[in-house]
Amino acid sequence: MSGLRSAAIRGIGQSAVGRRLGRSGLDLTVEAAGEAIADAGLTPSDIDGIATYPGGGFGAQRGFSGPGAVEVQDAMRLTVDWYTGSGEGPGQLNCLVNACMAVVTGLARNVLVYRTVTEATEQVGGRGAAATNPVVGGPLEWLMPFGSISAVHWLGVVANRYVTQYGLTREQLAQVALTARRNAGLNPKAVYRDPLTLEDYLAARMISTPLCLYDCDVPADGSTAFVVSHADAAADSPNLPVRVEAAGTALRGRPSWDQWASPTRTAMHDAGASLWERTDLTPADVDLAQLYDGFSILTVLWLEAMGFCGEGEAGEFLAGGRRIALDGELPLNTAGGQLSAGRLHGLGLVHEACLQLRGQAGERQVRKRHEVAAVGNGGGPIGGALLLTTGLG
Amino acid sequence: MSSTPRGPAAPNAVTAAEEELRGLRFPLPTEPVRFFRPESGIGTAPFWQGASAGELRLARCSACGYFVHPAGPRCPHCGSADLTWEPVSGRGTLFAWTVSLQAFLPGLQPYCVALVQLDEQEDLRLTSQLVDGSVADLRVGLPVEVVFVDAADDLRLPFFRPVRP
Ligand SMILES: [Zn+2]
Repeated sequence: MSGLRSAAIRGIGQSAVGRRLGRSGLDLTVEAAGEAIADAGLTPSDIDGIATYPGGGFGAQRGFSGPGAVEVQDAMRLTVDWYTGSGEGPGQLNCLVNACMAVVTGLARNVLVYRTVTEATEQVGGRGAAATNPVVGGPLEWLMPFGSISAVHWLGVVANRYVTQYGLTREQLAQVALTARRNAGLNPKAVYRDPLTLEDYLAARMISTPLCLYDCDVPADGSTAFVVSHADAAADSPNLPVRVEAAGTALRGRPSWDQWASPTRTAMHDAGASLWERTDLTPADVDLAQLYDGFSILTVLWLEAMGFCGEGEAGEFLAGGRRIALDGELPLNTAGGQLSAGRLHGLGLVHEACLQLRGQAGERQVRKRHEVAAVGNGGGPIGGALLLTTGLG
Repeated sequence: MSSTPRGPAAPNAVTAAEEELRGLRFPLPTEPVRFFRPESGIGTAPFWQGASAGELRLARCSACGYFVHPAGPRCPHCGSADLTWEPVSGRGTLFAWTVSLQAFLPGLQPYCVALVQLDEQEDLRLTSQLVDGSVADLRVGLPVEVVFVDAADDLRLPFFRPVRP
């Protein structure tokens, strides 16, 4: 059973989101953090912990990493008893799981959690880096010298493997992108909101087969923030606390892009399995899902990894898009996902899950019961999952 | 949530879209292939030195015979630290692939990233490229063989091509 059940997300915040906002990551972070702290009914002086993914420090990459915990501590003049920035763990959810562990163990009472990206701004002029023939080592040494230079290659291989194994059609795969765009139309902060048809999708240029332009998410600038507190202390917060029922954090196979025993069963399957081992709830109890869509094929795989359908059945599950629509049995990526709302790198999906559970998602609010949300983050070598609830208990 | 039964495979539109690409060929490169350079450091240099010498070499456990790729400090099967670099046949089958169509680098022509299953061992797989072939060749299980292509004065890459009868 999960010891995280006594942790709760009591505040949420999100900065401006967009393409090339031209603002610093620190600026966006402070905006999102301020919103989350106010949303929690707290002040910055109540914050005594910080957790971020992947954090500053060694190996930090401009645009991708966001500001480090110590930069935010300084910029906001916080006094904290515990802090961390870590890129290794259950995907991007690492920071939230760490925060939960900190409040459960008493290292901190109110942890500011954030994930910030300025990839759209930093992308300018970034292309063509390989023209100078830079050197790669580590796991990428077995991919990039051969021309497998982008995540679309790594996942194109996985997607084609899935297609040859299970007969996934382009029409089925398209439902991930089409559903996201339909939902994004109801999200004022989404990057792409214009209607997208199946015909548009099928006519789009291929990036790397079978993934076309609309199967790839959109780099964005933006910051997402949360305040995680002990559930007991969160009881008097102005907004409904979102309890962390369980986290999926396992890693049981070979973490890589190309060395899993089965390329279509990766870290996310380990995360999903460990999530359900830690709760009495089952996939049938989940009212809505926010499943990572850096590439559409990841969402396909997440549906299976979380047990919403069996192995090889996601294509049928997606067919026609009914089940995953806002009024379907499993509303999916209700703010538009990363495909249409922008790549806030996992934590944007958690933000939307909280909004939905609190009944504050505006025009895109799911009408049916919304007490249990599942979130899956990551792909390939990394994966993490969260089960969030508003139910009392 | 009801689980859906696995029905018969629907007409595969992915394949239909690829129909347009069917004529696409991946020629054996005549110009040096320049992507990222491998670090070729401790634990990986023998692989690249082998490739430059025209041999596909992989780390193998002397105690139990298991091939370890990517090479590690010890055999994950038996724990032996006695790993040596041995040439393999260079024969295998196509396990999965993607046809890269976007020119990520200036002037880049479409090419095929291939995940190759080597014949020596069931879980011995290498990401590489399929060359001297075409989209029409692409199927799981396609027999392939290694071919070394120039990437720089001191670097050759082990690519794979369909085995012609
Ligand atoms: Zn051994």
